[in-house]
Amino acid sequence: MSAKHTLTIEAVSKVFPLGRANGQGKTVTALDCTSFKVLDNEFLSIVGPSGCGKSTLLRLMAGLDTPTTGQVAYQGQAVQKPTGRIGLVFQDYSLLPWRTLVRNIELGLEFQGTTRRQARDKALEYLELVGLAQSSDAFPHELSGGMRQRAAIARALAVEPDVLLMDEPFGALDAHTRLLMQRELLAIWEKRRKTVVFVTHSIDEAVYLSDRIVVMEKDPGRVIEVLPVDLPRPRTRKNPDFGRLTESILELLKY
Amino acid sequence: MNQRLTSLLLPLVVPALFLWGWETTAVRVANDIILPRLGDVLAVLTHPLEPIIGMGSLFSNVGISLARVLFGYLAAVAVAIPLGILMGYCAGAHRLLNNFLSLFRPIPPLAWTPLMLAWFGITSPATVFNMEIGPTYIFFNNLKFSMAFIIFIGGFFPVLTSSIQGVRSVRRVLIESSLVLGANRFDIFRKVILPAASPSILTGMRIGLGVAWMCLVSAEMLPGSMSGVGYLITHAYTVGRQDIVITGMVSIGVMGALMDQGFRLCERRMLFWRGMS
Repeated sequence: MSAKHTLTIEAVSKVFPLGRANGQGKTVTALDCTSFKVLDNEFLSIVGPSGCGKSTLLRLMAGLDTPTTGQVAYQGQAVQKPTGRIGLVFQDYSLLPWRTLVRNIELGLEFQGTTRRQARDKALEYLELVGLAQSSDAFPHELSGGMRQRAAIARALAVEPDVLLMDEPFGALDAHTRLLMQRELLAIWEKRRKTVVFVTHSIDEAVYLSDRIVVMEKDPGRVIEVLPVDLPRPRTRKNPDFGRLTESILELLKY
Repeated sequence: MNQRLTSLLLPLVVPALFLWGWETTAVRVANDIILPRLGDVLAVLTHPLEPIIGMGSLFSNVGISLARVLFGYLAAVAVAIPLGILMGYCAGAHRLLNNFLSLFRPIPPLAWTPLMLAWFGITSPATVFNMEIGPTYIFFNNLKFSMAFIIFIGGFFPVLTSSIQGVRSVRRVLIESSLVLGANRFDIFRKVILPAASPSILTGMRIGLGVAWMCLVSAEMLPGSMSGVGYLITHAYTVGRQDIVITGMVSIGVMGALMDQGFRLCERRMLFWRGMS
């Protein structure tokens, strides 16, 4: 593993003002003095209960939000707004419903000023990568949830970001599709090595996918521990170490 | 097969009963001023190109009305869509204008009549641009500014409201996922917000056209009006021709329904993706 740090989260806190209904002037601390580093080309997962600030953290890394204190830095530079270098895959429904799949994948390339021809070629290449070449002219509503998420991943990858952030990308899928998607994501990751930060509710998913796991707690949201996953790939849930690691994370989260 | 036949016939039952009730009542009443017979109305309707009560044909009067509505309505759309998009997109513009415009919203278009007459009188594009007397002059002189304004007011607010709503209700995830793909503000506006808001804007345009069309009769009762279906109705009333009054009403109803259907067809063609994720 290279020791180069792609993303560094340095003493990051995020405080949100509460709405009027909950009392004026009150605030909620979504993230409290959180620090860790994301290594180059690693697959890092963030797990923790709802409200531990893992999605907030991802938004900060993507530049969609700025920390109240501390800093998120990408290659030594503070992340202040989205740049296109750090991609983000949302949980669901982020494709433009009026565009076909291939036109959706082209979207990011259009923003980056790629010519039409090149954008089309690249979009088709990435649809092929996620196994959707046959559905390039379908509209998002004609596809299953799993296919839509694969398209969303292809769209994020097509602009060739250095880091891919994923916010519970399989959260809305059924259990079966979810397992298939995990396997496919790993296959894609093997082909196009890049830094992935993957937020999930599922500890099983995190252990199956990641090089390292950031375990977070809530009230206030902070990191309890960062665990390496030293299981050989391709992984199988039959491996006793798989279960042991899952157990120890559950313990950390006090289940 | 039997079921299909029933479902085909079902929408015709009430109109048939209605026409039958009308005809029997008209025969019983036997007074053209209160209720003319079905056949009298049909006689006018089935000869749309024949001149009636010295006002030209039904067809030409419907045409003039249509031109008037389009004149006022297109002006309303041209102002309301950009303004609505601006107010939906830019919170400052919304704060600046929303309360002010809300004061005007509840005022019925017809209430503007006295002011409109005072401001515009019987001016029209023909008088303003000093057109030469001739067919073009006559056509444009029918498009009085006072009428256009009343139709404008009718069409304006539905289009404005739905444009604001359309822009405001664009889902955040669409905007944010485009931002992380490297979009700038202009990209977001052109490739995300405008298309996402278009169903709402189109619905507003359809409702606005309906309201504009409904303002027609009041607009055509203004001085200087010598033609149009609205005027045809009021004029037919003064000469006691209720069959022509009803013919006018039917024409307005049919034209309105046709335009509405046309719009719906466009909506379905263009916005097949609406409501789908």
